[in-house]
Amino acid sequence: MVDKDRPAPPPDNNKILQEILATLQGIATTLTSIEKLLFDVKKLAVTVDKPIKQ
Amino acid sequence: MADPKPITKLGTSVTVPMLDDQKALMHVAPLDAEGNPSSFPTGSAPPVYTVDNGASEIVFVTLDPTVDPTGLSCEVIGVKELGGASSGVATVTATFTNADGTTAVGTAVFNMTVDPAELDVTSLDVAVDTPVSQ
Repeated sequence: MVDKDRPAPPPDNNKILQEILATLQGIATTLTSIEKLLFDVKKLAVTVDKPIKQ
Repeated sequence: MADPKPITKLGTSVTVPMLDDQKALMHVAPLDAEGNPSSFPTGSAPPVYTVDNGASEIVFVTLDPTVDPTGLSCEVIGVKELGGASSGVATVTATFTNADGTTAVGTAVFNMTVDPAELDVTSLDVAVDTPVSQ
């Protein structure tokens, strides 16, 4: 039975901070993956000038 | 003489006919996953150029990557008389290694033939016997 007159326990700030940190680390990892996907050099375009006499 | 004009369109592999006494500058440009122009990350090593002469042990072309320290160009130089062969194929590959170890490549295939002018008679040796009485 809930005692309405009893104050709620204080939030566990450390636990909340750890959860926020874990979330941010997950976002950072995802962003790094996206960056690799988008910005890694995947191919090299090739052109060759018209050959000339040595 | 006018500047040499590119003879091939943009692509990851091109084929170029070339004579044994010619040379050509090969250029590469980085492309991202979408095929759009990209750039090499700052501080990354430049692309490495290698040549494959196929099954033949004859060297058809040599490379001079020192013409461009950025690695975006490499001189491809024909080997005179193709080591005795009348024709041959040399594949030049540029390879760039990303920070995560993945690689990007571009190739140029050089169809090599001996310059027909080299086979032309360009002079005649002359010898005359000692004159004798008629």
